[in-house]
Amino acid sequence: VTSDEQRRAETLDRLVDGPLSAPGDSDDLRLLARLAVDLRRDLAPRPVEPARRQRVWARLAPRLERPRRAWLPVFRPAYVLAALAVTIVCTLGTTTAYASGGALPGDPLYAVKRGVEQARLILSASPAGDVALLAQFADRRVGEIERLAALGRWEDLAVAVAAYPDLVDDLVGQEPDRVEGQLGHHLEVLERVRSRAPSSAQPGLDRALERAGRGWREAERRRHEPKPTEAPSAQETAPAERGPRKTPPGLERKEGN
Amino acid sequence: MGKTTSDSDLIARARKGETEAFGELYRRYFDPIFRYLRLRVAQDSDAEDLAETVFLRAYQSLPRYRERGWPFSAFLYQVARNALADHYRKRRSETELTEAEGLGTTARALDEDLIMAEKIRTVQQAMVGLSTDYQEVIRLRILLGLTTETAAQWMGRSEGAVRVMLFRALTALRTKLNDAEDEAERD
Repeated sequence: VTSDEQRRAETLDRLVDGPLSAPGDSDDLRLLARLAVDLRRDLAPRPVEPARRQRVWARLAPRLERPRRAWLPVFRPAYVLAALAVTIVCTLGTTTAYASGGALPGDPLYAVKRGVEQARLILSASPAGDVALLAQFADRRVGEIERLAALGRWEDLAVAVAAYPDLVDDLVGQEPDRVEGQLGHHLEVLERVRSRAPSSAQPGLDRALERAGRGWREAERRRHEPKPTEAPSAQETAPAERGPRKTPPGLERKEGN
Repeated sequence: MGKTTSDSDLIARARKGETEAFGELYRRYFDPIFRYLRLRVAQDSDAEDLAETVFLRAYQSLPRYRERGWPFSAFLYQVARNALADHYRKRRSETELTEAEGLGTTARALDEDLIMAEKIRTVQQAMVGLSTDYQEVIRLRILLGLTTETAAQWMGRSEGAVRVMLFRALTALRTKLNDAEDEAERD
């Protein structure tokens, strides 16, 4: 916008609402002002009749209801309900998971307890963490077997017994050197339970004892095995030369270091 | 209800459900809003329906309305423009461009003599050829007779910008009318 155009625009603005001419106004501005006056005269809508205003109000008034209160964005019902739902789910989930810690097979929360264990294994970020969890869960199964035997719940005991062998296999497969004491304790408890278990519970307990015994013997063998005095050559440690792996890669790397 | 009651007070009371307070706002602003709508549609009845819609929507929007330095009439004007957009969308297939976008003075033109009717038609056609902003500033400043200050508030622009826009709009309209006259003489 040039200053000249701005000045002319201001003059025209004044002419549109006031006298059509003033000293010093140029012809073209007077022509534009005349055009504006003609437009207003010919095309401006008529003034509104009071009857029309009242007629529209008569239609509008019955439709006016009390305006609903505006919610602050964070307090809108949908957001509040969503936040409440999330809070309830988190609270219930946490409480249930915590409460399930002491559940035994046959209890309503036992499935939650096992689910939480699976989730912890999945979320574990290291082989060492896996081993610690497997050892913890194996202890839990044996503890459950002992408590169920004390309660005489032999049918429920079968559930804990069935889960135990796989845990021992995984544990021995990953950390055979460190489970000897733990498995020794398991053997003592399982033998004690088996000695007073009914015949229906015997096969499962036998299988658990067999796995625990095998694991314990493997640990024993590892403990008495002579340790290599020289570091193996690079050629010997090359994966292609060693045959099939027996332990997970992570553990082998630890031994190599 | 005294004339000295401010719009803000009336809005606050209308928010609490006082229909009388909203009625006073309606009396203050019905005329300019209805006349603006009448400029944009071909029939009085359409303008009445739209005005009813505008004030109903405005009332329902009061809990969310914040003044933010703009007068209530500017808010009503925006509601009116939105209502018009909905109206055009519904009637796109049945409404002629000159009725929807032009000056909507068909009914009045029928009352004038033929020469005047022809003149009005020529101006309407020239108006349709202008940009939307130019049409709008002519409607608000010239045809509705709003002050520059009010037109600027409604359009969301500075007063200086509105003055320059009006100058350019009238210049462009005059050029188009001169071209139309020349064309008519050649024919």
